[in-house]
Amino acid sequence: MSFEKVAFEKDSSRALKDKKLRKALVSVTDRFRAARERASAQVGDWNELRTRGREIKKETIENLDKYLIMLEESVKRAGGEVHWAGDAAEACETIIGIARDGEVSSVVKSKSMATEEIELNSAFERAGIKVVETDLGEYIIQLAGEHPSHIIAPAIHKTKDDISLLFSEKLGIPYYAEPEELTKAARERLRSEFLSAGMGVSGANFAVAETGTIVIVENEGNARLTTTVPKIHVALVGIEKLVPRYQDLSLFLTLLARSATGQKSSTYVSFTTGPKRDTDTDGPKEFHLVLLDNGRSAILSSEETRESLYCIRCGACLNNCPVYRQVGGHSYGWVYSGPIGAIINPQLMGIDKAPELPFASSLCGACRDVCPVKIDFPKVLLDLRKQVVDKKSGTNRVGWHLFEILGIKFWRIVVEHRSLYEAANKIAYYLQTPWKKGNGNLDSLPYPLSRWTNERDFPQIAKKPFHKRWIRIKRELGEGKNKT
Amino acid sequence: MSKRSREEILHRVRKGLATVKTPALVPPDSRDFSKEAKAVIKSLRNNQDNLVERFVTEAQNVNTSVMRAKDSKKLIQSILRLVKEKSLKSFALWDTAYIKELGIKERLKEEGLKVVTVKNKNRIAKADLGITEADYAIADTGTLVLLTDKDRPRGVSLLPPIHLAILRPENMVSNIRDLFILLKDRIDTSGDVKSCMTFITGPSRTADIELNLTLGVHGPKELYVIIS
Amino acid sequence: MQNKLEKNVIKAYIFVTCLVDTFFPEVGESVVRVLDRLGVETEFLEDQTCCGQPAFNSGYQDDVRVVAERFLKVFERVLNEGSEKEVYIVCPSGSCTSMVKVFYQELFHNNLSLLNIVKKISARTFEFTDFLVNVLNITDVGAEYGGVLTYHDSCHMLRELGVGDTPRELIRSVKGIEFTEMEMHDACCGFGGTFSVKFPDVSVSMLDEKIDCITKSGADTVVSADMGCLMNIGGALSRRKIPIKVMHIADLLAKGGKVS
Repeated sequence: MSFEKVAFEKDSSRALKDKKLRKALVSVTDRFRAARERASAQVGDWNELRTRGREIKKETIENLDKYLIMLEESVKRAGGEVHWAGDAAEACETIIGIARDGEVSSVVKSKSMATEEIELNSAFERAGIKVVETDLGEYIIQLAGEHPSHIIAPAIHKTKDDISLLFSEKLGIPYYAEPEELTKAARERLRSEFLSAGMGVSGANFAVAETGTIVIVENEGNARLTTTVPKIHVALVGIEKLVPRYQDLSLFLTLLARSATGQKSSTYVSFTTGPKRDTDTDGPKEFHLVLLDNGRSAILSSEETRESLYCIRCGACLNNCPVYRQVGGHSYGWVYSGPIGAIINPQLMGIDKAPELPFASSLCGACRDVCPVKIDFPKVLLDLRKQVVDKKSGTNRVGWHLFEILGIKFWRIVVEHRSLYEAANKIAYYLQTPWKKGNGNLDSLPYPLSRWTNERDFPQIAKKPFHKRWIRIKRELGEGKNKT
Repeated sequence: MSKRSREEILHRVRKGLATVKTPALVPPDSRDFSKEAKAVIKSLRNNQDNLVERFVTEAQNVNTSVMRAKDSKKLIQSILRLVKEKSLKSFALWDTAYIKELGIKERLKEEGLKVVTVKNKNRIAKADLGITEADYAIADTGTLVLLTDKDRPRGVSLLPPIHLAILRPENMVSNIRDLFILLKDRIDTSGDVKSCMTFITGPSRTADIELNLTLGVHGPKELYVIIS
Repeated sequence: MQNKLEKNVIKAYIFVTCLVDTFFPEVGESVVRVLDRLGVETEFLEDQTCCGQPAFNSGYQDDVRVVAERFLKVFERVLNEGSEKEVYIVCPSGSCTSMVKVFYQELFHNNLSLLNIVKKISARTFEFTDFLVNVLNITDVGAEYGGVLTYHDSCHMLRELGVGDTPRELIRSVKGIEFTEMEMHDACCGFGGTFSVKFPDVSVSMLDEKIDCITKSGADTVVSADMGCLMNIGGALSRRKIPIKVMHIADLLAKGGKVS
């Protein structure tokens, strides 16, 4: 499956009709939201940790060139190889090159959103190399040929029955109703893949510049298997995933698990520094770090939106977003969804591919309240909205946007001139007459206000606005005082 | 190709950051790891029982089975009890000084169990039980910390369906921050970072199917810790 | 217990907001009456129109700057008041207040002289309930109303201004009411300004959940400090013929009207 232009309104309207999906979304987000609240409340200085998390990420991003070079040196010192990939095509080419050099015919993958970004699986398939997703959620959607709908729980839009059916169809096994049996089936099927694969591809949650360590956080154990068993390990890491010092990990690991799933610690955290040492009994003989740009460096040049790169991919923003809660991940049209998707999809895909996304938010700010690195989502969204407007202003687009520009210009003239403001008020009062309802509201207004009145009454313009009442009010108050 | 990309990427990064007049610099959390490590160790010694209690509670909360053994004899007995209970036939284990001292390998062979060679990953995968030590443990979260080294393969704590870790109470740390102080001190002293360190907090799990918690997805289904 | 307010010490300029001015002028009236009851001198600068927020949220920063500059010019008078009274700008809308107090600083961060004026005006600008409780130090305004009330936290007020306690303190002091907190009281109602017409399906879906929480709460009246939210919530309640009232907190506090 490939990614085209984001069609948020269309996709979200369709998603809203999917009752099964709605139920799953409420269930997942409620659960994760409550868990995060509980887990963060256990930490006395949680807010200070978040502030420090933001500071360290700011330091990392503002000194990114230095830390990238430091990371490269550290990885090399540990016996690993470092590759730099400017874009998706190059990253795929690099990784496939490594596979060919190692005469690899089958690859196991652990969960990595960066690999989804570059559409690595398709590239492997085109190159005739077998690739198997091993994270259970990702395995499920790989079988289904879909994209993940949530950063942490990619198959959450699928019911038990969906998955039972899928497994029985695609794996040729009996229809198992219970998660226990489905999981056992996946474990057995994937175990043999792990043991026979020539290469394991992973992402990383963090890459430590000081020591060249890459850190992977998981619950299933498939990432450990992916990065331990095959003879070659390739880690694809976005350039923004760095942290400066080894010790910084203690802060970020505390922030990540609690923000993502509400666990005090996820089941496994692997810290990999280079390939196996000569004295190690097992472990990959080759370690390759592929650093991915793919649009991240462009985000650096915008001061207003640079903090989009602080994200540690915990998913807390998704779980607290009232918009995501209604529509789920697929509406965001690309790898990332929810508030983080709304800000980085347009920046990484190019704003022309996702002009709706910065507006697909009520700017409520719930995301900012829970972000472990305090990303100011509303601020970034507002700046992206400005960018969309600025880009469109030069064109002769007819339709909704023209409507909007004319509306804004009209509004501006009216509010700039007091006499026009008062006149517009009076005129509007009379113009609204055909749409007056018995209950004191307006109904069935023409487009674009029909988008309001289809489901809601609209208030009437008052006969006497406040500015026309002021003198009378002042007089009444004065008389009242004189009376006492 | 990669070399040119390296220059291009670094160039783009520098260009993007050109407007940053004073790049942020955060004072590191610790400056003198050697000194702080000593302080951590001192406070741990005074708190050991407390830490062990906390560890046990947290570990049990994440489905880890915890056993306490007053001496080596009791420790071996605990392992044997487990083996009998589950009718385990084969095992893989780390070859450390402490494990050698305990004589676990000999004792289990006496009981008729097969010891698999750890040099072959397929063999480890077929073992019923993997026995390791834990280099450290974090009381706050019930986490075991395992460092990879000679004769301490990664697969032993990962491939067999049951993992048993032997933990010595003096290796218990209170929280993750203290742990990283000790780890960094260790790295500074030895001048070397191990190829792989693993934090283990409970058996393998997933909630990917309708948020139902299922144990034993890819990693071990059961985790036992014996505190010696 | 009520703090007595010395008369003629405080003067409040009403920043009525274009929404209240045009659609809900009685809310403006309520603000004035409550303040007057408490001994605050009120004034209204007739020249005011709009703070610019709707266009700001739509990405038209340059147009907004012009409108915002006009707002600053109108209210600059407040700074040059030159009386012995403490002067403030009081606004019955959390979102419009946050526009002036928070977003004007971002709009003008490159213009030092305007930024200076923004900072001075921001310091004197308060959302209505924030003003009553934190400036006048009053929580009991002598209001009386019979009913079961619940309160909806409007997003900008709660998260940009950090104001969530003051409305509740004021509501709880109203004689005769029963207050009940609804589930997810701080969840967005789906208004978001133009968001409500840009993505109406999503907006209404969020609104459905909010209506659900309101009806489950057992309240017969839902109170808020933002007419944007209330026209969204109220618009759905009246369309669905649900007999629950919406009420701006100023209107609530104006009821009864006795000050001891």
